[in-house]
Formats: sequence, C-alpha cells, structure tokens
Amino acid sequence: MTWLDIVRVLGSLTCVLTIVGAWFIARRRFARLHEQPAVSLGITTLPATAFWKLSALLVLAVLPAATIAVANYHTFVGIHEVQACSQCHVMRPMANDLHDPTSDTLASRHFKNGYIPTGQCYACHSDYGFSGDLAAKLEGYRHLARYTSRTYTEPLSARTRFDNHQCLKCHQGKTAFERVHMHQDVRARLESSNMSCLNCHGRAHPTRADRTPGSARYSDLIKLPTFAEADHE
Amino acid sequence: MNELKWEAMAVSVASLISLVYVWQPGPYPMGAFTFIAQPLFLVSLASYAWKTVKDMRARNVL
Repeated sequence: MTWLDIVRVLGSLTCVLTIVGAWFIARRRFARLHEQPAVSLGITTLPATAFWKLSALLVLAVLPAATIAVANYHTFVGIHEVQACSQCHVMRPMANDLHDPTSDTLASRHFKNGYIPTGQCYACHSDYGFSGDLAAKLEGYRHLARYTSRTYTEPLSARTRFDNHQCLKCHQGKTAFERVHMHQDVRARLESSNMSCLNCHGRAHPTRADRTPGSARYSDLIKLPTFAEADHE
Repeated sequence: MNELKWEAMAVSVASLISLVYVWQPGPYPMGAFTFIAQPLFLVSLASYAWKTVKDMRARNVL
C-alpha cells in the first residue's frame, strides 16, 4: 500500500463521515435542543445541546479541514507522476513522446536510458506549476482554471524561461559533464540560464508544429499514453 | 444557535466533490475541488463561525 492509497482511504473516510454527519446536523433544530434528553457516549453523558454543538464543530470545521489537507496532499504529491500530467490532453504529446523509443528528444532519451526512474515530468519541471514554490503553485491554479474553462489554445507554450538549474542539479559536477570543455567555456551563461542547454542538446519535447491540431503527428501524439514508468523501477 | 441547514448541505456537496476527486484525480474533478469544494468548505465554516459568535454573544459568553 502506497502513501497515495492511504491518503485515498483517509480522504474517503473524512468525506463519508462529513456527509453522514451533515445529514444529522441539517435535520437538527438547535433552538429546541434543550428539550431533548442527554446523549450517552458510553464513557460520559452530555446534554443534547453540548453534544450537537460539538458535532457541528466536528462536521463543519474539523472534518472539512482534514478533507482539505488530505485532498491537497493528493494534489501536490499526485502531480509528481507522468500519469497525472497527461490527464490533461494537452500534455499527452509530451508523455507519448517520452515513452516513444524511436524519439530522439531530450526527454525521451532520458526516459529510455533510465536516467530518471520515476516522476520524469516532475524531475525536470519541479520549479513551476503545482510542484514549484508558492508563486509557481498560483501559476498552477491559473493553468487549471484555463484548462477546465477551456480558455487555452493549442499548441501550448511556456510563459517562463526554463531554468538550467533543472538540468545542472543532476549534471553539474559529474565527470561526464565536467570533462566537456564547452561546458567550462559557457559555465557562467549556463548557470544564469542565459544560454539554453537545448542549444546543443536538441529539443526537449515535440515541436510546436507537431503539437498543433491537424498536424501529421498530432493524432499519434494526442492518444492516451501507455505508462511504462515501472520498467525502470 | 440558529439552524445550520445550508452549511451542512454545503459541506455535503463539497465532500462529495472531494470524494470524486480523491478517487478520480483528473483535471475536471481537480478543478471542481479547487474552485467549488474548497470555497464551499470555507464559506460554510465562516457562516458557522459567525453563527457561533452570535450565539455566544446572545448568551453573554463573549
């Protein structure tokens, strides 16, 4: 059982308890509670007024807080998986290309060589969207609002400049990286993201032209991806 | 304390949306949870808190 399964069970429990509790709270007439008999809880007996007010606190404040915490954990941890990213069809071209053994994009090469065993999207894009810092999370909410309200156009393009530290955090300091003289020559420009790693290492994902509806590759790129992440685990 | 009928209904609807989201975490359930369920939880909590404060003032507790 994974953490996500535990979160699902906990989330379900809080939701069901809230719904059942809310049904009783909605039917309660609080002004007349003093006329009702005390409620026995086994270890103690409470006046009906106290019992139902405490129940209201549980159902309207405590359980919803737990539900919000659990569901948001589900949001911010669940999005680490490629499967979560490709739930939005506009991300499917990236996911399908990632799993395409014939593709030569940077993302696909990382995947087929097993450089990043799990959570491949998150590994390189952990600085923006729901996975990034607070400002990035707010941007993630904007993405979600645009997607669910269908106020976007394909192909998508990133508003932000890719931060090379997403590459350097793994490559910098490694022998294979340091022994390349070109890396030494442009180190400052790479570290400041003034020069893109893609200038020499090719495209990271399919081109905008390929991701445009109606293009020759679009129907292949947009199909529901199959997930082979476990292959590298 | 006044009745808490609509607050209870609001948290029921929000919990139902959350339940769907926890098991089917697609973009639309995520959008519904983020933009409908969470505000419903917060609005019902605010209303409940307001009614509680009013009730305590009426009883001279506050």
